[in-house]
Amino acid sequence: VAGGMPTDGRFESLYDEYRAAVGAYCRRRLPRDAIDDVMAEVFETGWRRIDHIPVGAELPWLYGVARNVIANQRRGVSRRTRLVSRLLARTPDRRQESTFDSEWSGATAPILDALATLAPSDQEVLRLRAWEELTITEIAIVLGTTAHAVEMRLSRAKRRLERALESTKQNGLTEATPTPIAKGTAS
Amino acid sequence: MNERIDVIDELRRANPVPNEQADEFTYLSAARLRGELRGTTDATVTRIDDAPSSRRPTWRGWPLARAAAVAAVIAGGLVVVTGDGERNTRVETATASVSEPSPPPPYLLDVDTGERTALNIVENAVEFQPSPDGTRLLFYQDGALSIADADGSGVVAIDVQGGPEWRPARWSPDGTRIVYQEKMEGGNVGNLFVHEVATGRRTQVTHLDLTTADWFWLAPSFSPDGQDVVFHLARDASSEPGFDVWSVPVTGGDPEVLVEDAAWPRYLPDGRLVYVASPRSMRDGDTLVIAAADGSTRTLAEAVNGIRRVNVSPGGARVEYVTGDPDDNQDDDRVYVVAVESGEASMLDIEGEWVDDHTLLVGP
Repeated sequence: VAGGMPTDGRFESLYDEYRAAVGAYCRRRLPRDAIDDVMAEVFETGWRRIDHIPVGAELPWLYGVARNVIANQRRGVSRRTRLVSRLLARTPDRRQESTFDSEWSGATAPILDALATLAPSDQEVLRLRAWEELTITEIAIVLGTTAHAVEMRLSRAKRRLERALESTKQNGLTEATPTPIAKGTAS
Repeated sequence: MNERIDVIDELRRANPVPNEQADEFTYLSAARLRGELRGTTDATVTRIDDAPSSRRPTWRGWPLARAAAVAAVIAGGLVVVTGDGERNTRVETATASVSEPSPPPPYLLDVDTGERTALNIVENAVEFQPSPDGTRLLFYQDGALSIADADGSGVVAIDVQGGPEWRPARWSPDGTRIVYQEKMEGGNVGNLFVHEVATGRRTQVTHLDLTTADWFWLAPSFSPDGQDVVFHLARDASSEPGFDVWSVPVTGGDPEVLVEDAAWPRYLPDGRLVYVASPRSMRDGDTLVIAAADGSTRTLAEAVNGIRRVNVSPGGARVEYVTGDPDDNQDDDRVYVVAVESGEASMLDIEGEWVDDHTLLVGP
């Protein structure tokens, strides 16, 4: 790449091997129109930091970058949304929605409604375990913490999700609708 | 007991983008990516905020001193924070010398110089615990609590019933015993067991009904003479239960309250006890206390958010602890090392287990 650092093909391999997984990570958390920007920043970071990506832990490292990129974008959009809200307060006949106002919610199910009631950090550790199917050690890389901390956080998040699911079902807040089924996923 | 729902399994079934379909969701065009990279130059790479995103500070809205501190940590340096009992977020000095990036864990971290030395020991292992004499390692490998020589050779899995919880097991001061907390059905952690290394004999030392507690991790460790195990216990299953520190003989028996309204107990070799005072939950115990045998106490450190995971160095010269709301983003966690006698504290960029009073073993 002109003006950049040579990567001896490692970046290209990284991109080819993991773009689908990183794309899926983003798709699970973002609306479709927000994914390109995040993907671009994730792999730009990967390209610039190619020599620092731990061998054997490339995907968790990329997930960790994606997580931070998404968090940064949410913060930026949140600020803009507050500004928009103030403007809309003066012009109540117009409505505008932010694509980052909430977690992506294209599918619905009691478990997802329950998940949405948890703190963002609880949601993320549960998603990394269930959706990205990461090990404790891999989640620790994504979150930049220790396996010990992840295990503790995951245990507490599972208990909170159990309670939230029970509460959601009891309150009948949602009606179950068909959701995609993951085929042959490992436990 | 009610049938437990496997929420992870349910969540997995509700995955909006199953991994088998991930290829269908690759939206980024190669042309777009090339365009992004073309605008990036070598000069960009040298900026301090080009640290890995997981370590990148959020500059906007941060006090300058805190941002400088984080920048120094990113660069591999150490940050000296207040040692006078004030809040830990005040930064007095910061060293921002650029050093080589961290090797992948496990590695040794010299807390005085920030030097990191890669270790090539046991593979696929976590939660390393060096023995008090430094000759052996305790760790979890493939889910089994195991012991090996310090160079990683001679791995022996400890034969335990039910499988231990994935938490730090602790050596006794003489290295002859290990205390660990077993996993309960349903994924939460259960009672405490002491394992004798030489004989393999296993003794259940507590018989607690932990379903009544909000916080299941008991954080056990040994007394200096190795005859007792100390741990904390939540008083109930509420979100702000309060905690007490308990002690139980290694041979088992009735636990006794050692310190009321306290958590995260760890003994110094001289018999003084370090603990977090008055935590209603794991997010608000903000004072680390050191108590002498005569009952007198002094504040060792304070933090804005709850102090937890207290860890005493083998010689008792330093205490490592973590601050930050455990329910909040873990990126906000801060790891500190405080000198017991002077109260001087340093902030580290990662947590580890003590090898000696100057060195931490940082594991994956």
